[in-house]
Amino acid sequence: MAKCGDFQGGVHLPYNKELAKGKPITEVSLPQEIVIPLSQHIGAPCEPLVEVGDKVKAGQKIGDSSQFVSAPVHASLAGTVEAIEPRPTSSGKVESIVIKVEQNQEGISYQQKRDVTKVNKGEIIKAVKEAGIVGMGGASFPTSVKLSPPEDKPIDTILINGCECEPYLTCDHRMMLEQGEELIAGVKLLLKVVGAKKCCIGIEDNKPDAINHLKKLADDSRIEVQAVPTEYPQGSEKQLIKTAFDKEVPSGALPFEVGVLVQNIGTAIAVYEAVAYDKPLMERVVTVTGQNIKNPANLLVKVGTSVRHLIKECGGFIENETKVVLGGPMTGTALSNLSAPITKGGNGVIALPSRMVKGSGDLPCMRCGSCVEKCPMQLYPNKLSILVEENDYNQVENLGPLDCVECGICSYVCPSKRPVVQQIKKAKVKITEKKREAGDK
Amino acid sequence: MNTKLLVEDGPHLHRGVSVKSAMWDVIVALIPITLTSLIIFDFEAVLIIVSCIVGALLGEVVARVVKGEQPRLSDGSAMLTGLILALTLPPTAWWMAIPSYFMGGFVATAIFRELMGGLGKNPLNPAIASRIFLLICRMASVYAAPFLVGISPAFKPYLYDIGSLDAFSKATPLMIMAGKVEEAMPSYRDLFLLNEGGSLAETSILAVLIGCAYLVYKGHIKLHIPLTAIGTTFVVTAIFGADPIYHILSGGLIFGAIFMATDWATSPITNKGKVIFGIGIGLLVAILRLIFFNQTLWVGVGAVAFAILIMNAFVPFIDRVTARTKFGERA
Repeated sequence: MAKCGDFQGGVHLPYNKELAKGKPITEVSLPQEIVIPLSQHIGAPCEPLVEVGDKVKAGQKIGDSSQFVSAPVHASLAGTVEAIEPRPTSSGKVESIVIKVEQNQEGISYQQKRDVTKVNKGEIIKAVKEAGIVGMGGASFPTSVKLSPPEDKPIDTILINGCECEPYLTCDHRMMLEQGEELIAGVKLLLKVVGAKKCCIGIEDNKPDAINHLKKLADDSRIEVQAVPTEYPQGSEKQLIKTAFDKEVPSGALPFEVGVLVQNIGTAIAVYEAVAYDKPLMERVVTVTGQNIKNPANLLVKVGTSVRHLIKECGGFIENETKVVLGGPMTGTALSNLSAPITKGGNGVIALPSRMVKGSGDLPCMRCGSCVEKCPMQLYPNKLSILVEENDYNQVENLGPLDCVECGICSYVCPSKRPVVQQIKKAKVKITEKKREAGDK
Repeated sequence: MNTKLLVEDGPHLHRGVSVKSAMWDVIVALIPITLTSLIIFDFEAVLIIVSCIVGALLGEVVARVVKGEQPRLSDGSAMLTGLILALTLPPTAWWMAIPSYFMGGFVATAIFRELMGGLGKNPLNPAIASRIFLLICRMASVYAAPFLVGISPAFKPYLYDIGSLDAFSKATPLMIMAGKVEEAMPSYRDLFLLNEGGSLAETSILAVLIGCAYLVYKGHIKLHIPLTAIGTTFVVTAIFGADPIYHILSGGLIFGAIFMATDWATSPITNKGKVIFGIGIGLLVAILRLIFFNQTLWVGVGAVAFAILIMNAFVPFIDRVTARTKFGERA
């Protein structure tokens, strides 16, 4: 069915997945407190629905917004609201609800609420919206919005992104192996909600066990499991669409333009759980790994648990001097505070030893052309970064920085260690501002 | 636990190739040909290599200080430029030549690299530009010598010496090909393995190719430019009835195509651009040699250097016409 294309550019990275890929998903001990940021998604932040001193139950909705592009947040454990204040997260201080966790958690057991074979489209979207589901691969776009594409853009194919192309991370891999049934059930719901005819589950060929497992489980002729080449950034949706279907999403457009809806593994499972059990997105699998962590693991973590708690849970650091990255090593953020909570989009915590700190270069662009050759969007990262340095934003715009997928390859290959991707991100912000100002006038 | 968190911008992985490691890799790739030149020319080669490198290092330090920047010799780029320049020069044991080699190295880094934009931004390959600078100085001095002697007989002792400094005083394969020297051409085999005609880098094609293999293995160069440049010269000289094998094996074409035409700063960015650039070099080498051999010999002999220098000037244009279309804008 699917024609296998290949995207241009890309690199092969040291994957280091052996550290955690054999570790089954385990639960974490109860943390003392949880911190639920009111904005864990792209779109409008939530308003708190509780007050300081309130008792909350696990799964209770504690923040919501009336905006369309938003997702409610839930208490992931029972306890008492201790504070509603800005707390450090991986993206600076964010208004959060702090809950002191009750040490006697009543066992929450989720009951089958709906027959997933009989639900209709409206019920699914409503359940997904209520559960606060967002894309769990890192971008955190509200899923209910993604499931409501414009009427004139029919979706004929769903693409489940099982690439997990970021090094170190193994949470999607483990979920495919351990929660395959839920995943397939989630896929069927997604097929129904957008009225798609088929679904392709794209998995990088470095995970043959997951490919075989899901092939066995896929009991529906509409669902196909496809092995795709292991190459970074295969899991970037535009690149994966190109590989799986040989289609190019036009510049500036979203995948529905070519009739495709892309969903992450964890998201598809969360959709199933929301529809079947009314279970909100309040826990997720996180890979805690890296050369500087004693016992790498894949953990089932309550949203709001601090990174510090997870590190303790994994035996702590080997060296005291360490870099701790939230997310994948290519696109993640180095934390300056271990109190940062795991959010809905937090797929990994990676502790790297000090010897792996990159450091910065002081040399100019050498015109070696590596970033140009490897850029998966065929941009000119070299020129973009030089123009940003020179503050020449008029020319920057012609080089299409808004198409940048921020994969970080340009910085990864740069022999001068220039902060190329940061400069392009800066260009994106500037140009978006400029466009908004122009729009206001 | 006394944890110290290290924070920096992502991505948090790096390929591990730095400018410094790349420069040193190129220097390592030049070891085989440097050794062969030492075997063949012995002390004469040492003289050239040392003076060029010292000149290049000093040139970089002086120019950067003049520009108000910190000298940075550790990246190896100045040393590399000096070494490459030395390898493009013919041997001499004449002590008076040291200042000119030293000046060549100095001019390469000080003027053609630092003052013309700095590392990564220089439009011309510094070693080549300086090589041509020396060639022109040489011709100027050859023409000027009788005139100087005319002014004062005191210059007379230098007349012979300046003349003997002529790059073409030894029977190089190119000169034999041009019919300027009555000698049999060295065999293909000698040209490939070991021979003593021409510049330091022309002593062994095999040694140059070993260095090339190392650079390709390390991922520092791609073969688009060398293959198209050498291939084009081969085809064009063959069409015009010359011996194409001699043309590609002699006169530094292979060395220039591999080590100088692939210079990051002065070659096109895209593969398509590299192909155009390589074809341009090959074409110019063939034309310059075929036309000027019988008239202005020094242009013919310097064909490779002239060809690369001329094509360097076209790089911005080539980059513009080969600009690629980004993802999502291809029909």
